[in-house]
Amino acid sequence: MLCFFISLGLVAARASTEDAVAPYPVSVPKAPAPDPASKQDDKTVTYDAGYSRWLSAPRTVEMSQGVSFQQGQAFLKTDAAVVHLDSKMNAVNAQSLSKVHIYDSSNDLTGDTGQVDFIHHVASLHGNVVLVTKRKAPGETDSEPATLTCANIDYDYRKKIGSVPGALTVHQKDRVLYADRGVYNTAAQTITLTGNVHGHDVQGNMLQGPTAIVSVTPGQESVTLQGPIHGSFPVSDDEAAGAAPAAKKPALAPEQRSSP
Amino acid sequence: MEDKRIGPLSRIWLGVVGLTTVVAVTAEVSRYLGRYQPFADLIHESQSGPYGNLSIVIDNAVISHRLSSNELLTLKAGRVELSRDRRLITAANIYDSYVARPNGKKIVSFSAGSASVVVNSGLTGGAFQGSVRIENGVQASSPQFPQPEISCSRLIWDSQMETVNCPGTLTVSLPGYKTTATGQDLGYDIRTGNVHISHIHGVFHLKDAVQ
Repeated sequence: MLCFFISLGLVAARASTEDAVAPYPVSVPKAPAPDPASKQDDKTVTYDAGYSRWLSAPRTVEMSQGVSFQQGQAFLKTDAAVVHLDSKMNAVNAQSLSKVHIYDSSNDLTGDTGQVDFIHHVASLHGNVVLVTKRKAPGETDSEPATLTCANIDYDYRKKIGSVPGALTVHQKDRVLYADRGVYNTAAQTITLTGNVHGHDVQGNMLQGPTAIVSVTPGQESVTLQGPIHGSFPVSDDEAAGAAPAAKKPALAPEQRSSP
Repeated sequence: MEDKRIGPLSRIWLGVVGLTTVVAVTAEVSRYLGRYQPFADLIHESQSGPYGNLSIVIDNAVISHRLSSNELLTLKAGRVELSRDRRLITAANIYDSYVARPNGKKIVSFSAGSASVVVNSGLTGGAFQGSVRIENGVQASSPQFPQPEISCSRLIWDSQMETVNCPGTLTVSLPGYKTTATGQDLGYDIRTGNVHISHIHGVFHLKDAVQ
């Protein structure tokens, strides 16, 4: 498996820059001071393998039997991988030939296969991709993580941003959302869904729209829809008969049902 | 009446014949069991070298094996011993030694506490066939890309298989690229230039990583 550890300071700093141009009221964690040691760690990749075969031409290393890579604070693990080296024995990228598991302090990703671009800190996972957010609310020990499933994802393990170019599904507590594309920003704790967004929850609420922002902040989960939206809410028998509506917490906060 | 008693002389003769028979039977049995090889030195004399069947010990020796004008094996040692059958060379305090390809290109240079050279053929002429086993604090290096330096407990060069193996734990460093790896059981295929290492742990450096 390959694992990559990302500098929190750099991630947060870059994430805040990106979020500044986002039109959504998303709180961004304060960027901690950059850690020079972590920055240096990003320039190296630590590897372990049960077996390795170093080929002279082309300059590649075939690794198998429990392969792991660590770059910064991110880790990648797999059973078989091929690492491509440049003429000075520097690692350029790696291709996993079997199931991939990538994790860092915030997220956990798995896929059938994948490639890692060590230079640009991007891991591309393919086939049955599942991204699980690991962040928990302070003091919370059993918070339910949000999961994102898709066929392909490009995950910047330094910025901790996952870009899904195709159809994806987001499971968040009792809510399921579908969209044509999506971007998960760990620092902002949001999943931006675009294109044919639709979903429902276990209470029967349904929604549909062109764009949605899903907040995955523990304890503050919400969905913000933008643009012309369409949806339906279930009505209880008492409400249908004209009685006072029951005090029932809607799945979507009223102020979040419309675009900002 | 004829006196049938055996005389003293006949008794001696009978004793001699009996003793000779016992010795002959004992020798034949020993020979059959392989414990006695009469005239063995004379029989195997044709295989002995110019120094007969003596083992040779040389201090501060340099042993070289050449094919044409190229040295395939150079062994510099504080002490070298050549076995009686000339098929085994043992050496101690090895330094500045190396094995090379038939074209003269060095495969691996090494220094070590001890070495043994098993000669299958070719010590006195022709292509060398055998193996070199180097042990005890082996420090080896290869001039071929990426010029690795290896620290290991044992290194074995097999001329027929064209392989270099380092069984056991080892450390490989690439001084030109400031990287080091640890692992076990290195194998180097001289023909292809490929290397395999088990249980490897190391660090890749990245050039021009995006910051």
